Amino acid sequence: MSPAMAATAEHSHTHDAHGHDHGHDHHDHHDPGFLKKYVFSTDHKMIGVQYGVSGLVFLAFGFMLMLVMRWSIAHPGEPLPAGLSWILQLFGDDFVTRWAPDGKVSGSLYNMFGAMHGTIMVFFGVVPLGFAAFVNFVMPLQIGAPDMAFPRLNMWSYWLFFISGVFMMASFLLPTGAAQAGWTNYSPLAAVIQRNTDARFWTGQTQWLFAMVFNISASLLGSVNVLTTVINLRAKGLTWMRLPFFTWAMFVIAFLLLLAFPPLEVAALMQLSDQVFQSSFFLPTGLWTSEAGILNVSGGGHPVLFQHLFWFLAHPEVYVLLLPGIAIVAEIIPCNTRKPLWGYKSMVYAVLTLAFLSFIVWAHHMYLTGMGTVVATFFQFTTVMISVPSVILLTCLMISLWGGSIRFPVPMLFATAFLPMFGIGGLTGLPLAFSFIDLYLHDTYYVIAHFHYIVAPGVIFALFAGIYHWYPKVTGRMMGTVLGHLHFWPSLIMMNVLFAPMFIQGMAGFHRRWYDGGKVFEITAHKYFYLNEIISWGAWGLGLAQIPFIINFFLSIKAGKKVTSDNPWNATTLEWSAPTPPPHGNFLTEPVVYRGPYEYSVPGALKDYSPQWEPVTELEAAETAKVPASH
Amino acid sequence: MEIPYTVNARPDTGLYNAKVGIWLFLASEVMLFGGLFSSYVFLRIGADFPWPFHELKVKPGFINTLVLIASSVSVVAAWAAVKARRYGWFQFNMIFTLCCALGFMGIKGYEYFHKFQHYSFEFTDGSVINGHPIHADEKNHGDRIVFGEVKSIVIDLRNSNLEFLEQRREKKGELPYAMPASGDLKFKSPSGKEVVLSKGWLKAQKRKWLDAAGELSRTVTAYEIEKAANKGNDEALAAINAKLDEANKVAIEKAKAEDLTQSLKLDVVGEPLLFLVKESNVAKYGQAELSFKDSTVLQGKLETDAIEFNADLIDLRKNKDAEKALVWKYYPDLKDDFLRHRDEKSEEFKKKYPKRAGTADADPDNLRESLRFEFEVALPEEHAHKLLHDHSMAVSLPRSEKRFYSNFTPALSPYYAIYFLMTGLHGLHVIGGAIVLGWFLITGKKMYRENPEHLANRVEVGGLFWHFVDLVWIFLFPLYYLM
Amino acid sequence: MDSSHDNPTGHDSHDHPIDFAKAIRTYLMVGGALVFGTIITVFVAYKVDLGDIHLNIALGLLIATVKVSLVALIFMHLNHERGLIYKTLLFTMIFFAAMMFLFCLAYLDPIKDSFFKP
Repeated sequence: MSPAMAATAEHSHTHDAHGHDHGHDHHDHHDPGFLKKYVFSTDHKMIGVQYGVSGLVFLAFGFMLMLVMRWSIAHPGEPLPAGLSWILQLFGDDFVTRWAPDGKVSGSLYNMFGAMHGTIMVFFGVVPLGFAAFVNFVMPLQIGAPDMAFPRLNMWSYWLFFISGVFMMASFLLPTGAAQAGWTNYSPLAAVIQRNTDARFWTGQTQWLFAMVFNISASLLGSVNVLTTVINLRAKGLTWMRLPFFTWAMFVIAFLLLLAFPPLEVAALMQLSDQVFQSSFFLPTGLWTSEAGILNVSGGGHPVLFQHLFWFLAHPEVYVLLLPGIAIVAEIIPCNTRKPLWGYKSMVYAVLTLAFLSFIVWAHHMYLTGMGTVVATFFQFTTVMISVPSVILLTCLMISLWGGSIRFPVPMLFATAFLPMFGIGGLTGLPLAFSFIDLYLHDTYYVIAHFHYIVAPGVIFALFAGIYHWYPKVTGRMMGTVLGHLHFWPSLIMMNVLFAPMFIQGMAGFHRRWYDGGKVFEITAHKYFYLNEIISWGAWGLGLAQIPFIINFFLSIKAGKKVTSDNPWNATTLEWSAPTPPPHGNFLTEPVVYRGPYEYSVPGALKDYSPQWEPVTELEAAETAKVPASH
Repeated sequence: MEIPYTVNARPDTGLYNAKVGIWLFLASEVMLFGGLFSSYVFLRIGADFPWPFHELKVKPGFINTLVLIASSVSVVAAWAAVKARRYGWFQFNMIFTLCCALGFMGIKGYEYFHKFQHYSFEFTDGSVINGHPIHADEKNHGDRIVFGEVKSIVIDLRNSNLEFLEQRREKKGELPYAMPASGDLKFKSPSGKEVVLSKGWLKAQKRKWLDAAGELSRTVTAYEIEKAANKGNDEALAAINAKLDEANKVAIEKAKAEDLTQSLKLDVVGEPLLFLVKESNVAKYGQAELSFKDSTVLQGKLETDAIEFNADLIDLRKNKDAEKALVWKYYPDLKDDFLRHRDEKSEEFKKKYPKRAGTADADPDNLRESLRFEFEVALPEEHAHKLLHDHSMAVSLPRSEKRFYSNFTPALSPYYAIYFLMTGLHGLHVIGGAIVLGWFLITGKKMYRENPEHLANRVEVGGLFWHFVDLVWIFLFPLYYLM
Repeated sequence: MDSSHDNPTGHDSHDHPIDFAKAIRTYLMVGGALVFGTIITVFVAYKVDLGDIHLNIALGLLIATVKVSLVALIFMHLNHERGLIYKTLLFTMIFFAAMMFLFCLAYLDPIKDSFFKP
């Protein structure tokens, strides 16, 4: 008897004690109340959905902040039009009175929105959606586990994240406003900007740090959970090299979060101490500001230390943002080309190498801090090295398309668009690896364009692909195809209108923190002002392009086409063998895995996909033996 | 399906879930403290001040190390006891561990408390004296800034929160502000109304101000939008601007009548007030004005900003020229003693450490011995006692000669900042660990009866965390107390 | 694998019931060694002349490392643990070492201002 079954047998009396009628629904052992089922749920699927919805809401919110900023850049000194001023109204009348009394975007407001746009998008939007939501919903199903290893910890993880989100959002309403020192929150600016207030605990800067401490704790709990689940709860027969690439990538991401986040927690605690206890971790001796003169602090600290600690996290964090995209695309492409993922093993080793190297490249964000040639050379070297595994991943995905009979449902559209978009983002990053180019391009729109190409049309497209792909497993219904196309094509065009011109502006020297779009530098910059408006049109268009998605997302819950089988895409991985939607405990019988994750169009098989849970037939074995091993 | 491997190990990994989890968690803890240790090294090699060396009292740290070692032995013994099915031993060892945790935190608290009571004053030339400010009372002002003849207070309706009103109520026994000790603070507002200053009044006034400002803001915004629509049409723009000015004028008149201007000057009714202000609440001050950090401004006269201080130690490590240090202006009698002490100690050091004699000038050990002059050790007992405790021996240190003044908190220097951060975080880990172990002790009996192996796993996992906490301390102790 | 859920004297395939007295003896001995190590550390910090204070610091840290290894190996059972845990800790230690080393390296290798010398 397996331990799992023994446990079930042992605990069955507790169900009887609750007086359940087992007959009416054999999927669902428990019938918990509304709160326990939808709010304080310990079920990994519900937690995944919670993360996903929160992540989408935060993404939309971060996007709105950006719309206000884009208005200020394209139309400096003009009041917000009615189409945008409602975004400010969201924060209430007091907020508008404090920060935009004449309806115009001031420098402080721009700084606030800029800092919060970055923070919310990275820590509250893309990571919770891309990592937490997908890993929670899909990974346990994909490895044949009944739930995460520590379900209660999982719930805690979500609620800590939720608290951190509340803290972050509430900071807008404080008299000091939210954080205004950029999403990187560099000291000494961060320590000085809201210093002159009695309410040290209740400034935007301190709230930012509090929120980050909660956010980091949540992600630590989450990553421990994910790692333990993958290590210990894989189904029978699911060896490491039979894991779907999605799970591999998520496993690696969890490791990155586990080991890279603590130094940021250290930085946050130190900066908190600087704010609340007036210490000088990051404040040098003799720091002077125009407001206060020489600051009344001991000094003796190092601003650069903050940057080290911050980027020790934030570079691995870049891969935490990126890898969910690759993970999702690596599931969708084989499923829709009906052939195996090309180079599965090399992708696995590439992603492991990538993770390792990502820990020792961080200072390429800091070439401008006055580092000497030895250190700069080291970091240039590692940075160029890390492009090798990235290129391997992308190349494998591209080659996977070759010779397939590709079908193009909506998820596949997004997944295919991911490839060139991510390619543009990645390749334009290469020049930035070299310090002599980076010294010129640092903090310009070139950098903005580079990483937005990776994150926005790259990762977020992949996340959309994932949503369309797994939606039928979550709800039992498909999302609409027409609305999907209406979402995809305008988004693709607008993304490029939005980000491509930024490369040109960046190379012309446009700085990322000009709230007026460079009006002060009119003499030299005016030639490229017209791009400001074009980019902003891209932003408005991109906003409108998301409306079909929102409609589709909610409408399909009730009105989408019902799926007729548990495996609507004819895919091969284990999550498609679970009932739809999967009940508490996921599987009806303990799943057993017989083969690799991407066995499409196997010679000798009766259908063009051979799921992991189906034993290898004699005919398949005989036919496969004739073909030389390709991967 | 239930979650497998909660008690028994998975055959191929050889581990049960919680053990995988705790080790992963400990790996992240290694990075957490790794980040802190790296920061410690970075701050230390980059310090532009003499890094405190052998300054913390070794004894409490030493005892705490022993306490944690003992608790580590007992917690692993508790696990062994469950494994050997001896529940009594388990209980004994867990209780012993918890006592150790309590003792550790007690000693920690004692250390912190004494640090907070101790102050340090650094002169502009880098000489440092440590000691205690005289307790502020009716006769002394201690380290408070005395700001008198205050006839008006300017309140900023956007930022002010009148923190000092709270302090006035909280501090019993001392008198931080020579305002009416009881009763109301009465002021006359610009519009001529009589105002009783309180947090409640301020809150209401702020609300009204925000509403009024919001109304004006909406009017202005509407005109601004109109202006944007009429771009290029100079005539129309001029007309709109005229209307805008008019609206502004009307709003300002209305605000003045209802005391709703952002900056509100309140005149004191009756005798002028005297304030004893904590420096940490002050943004800046001059002879006639003092601004609090919340933008509240006092208008009056600066009586004194000197600190009444009883020193217990003179430290000249940061000072280039010991003979001309500013500190001798205040302690002229001690100069000769100090210099004699310095030379004696240098000689002594060279004799004691012959191999280190060549590097004595830069040796932190030597500098500490010779340039830190502790009254209690270096002076005759009676003299030292008088200097430390007699109010009449106190010196008055003007803030104009101050580079920095603080008690021994994270604010004092990056050394103390990281000392408090690391030991504090470590203390939090001790508390967290103790809570978890206590929980296992309380709920252990039931689980022991049902499945002793499950309890053994729990205690093992809790113990692993506890050992890690011990392990961090084994590094913290030498880094802060010994080197 | 055999399940021992409902067996109050349940045992594990890899963790044999232990010899309690012997285990306690070992733990007490290790505890004694740790106390001894602590005393030595204090002694080294105050009473030993190695010619350079940095050598004293290095020696003190070395002793602390030995103590930490004792705790990790005996109390935390790292002397007979599973490969997976060793691998995790190995990578953690590499990243920690890289962090500390590169922080210091970056500090100790600033741009030389030969060009802008006054």
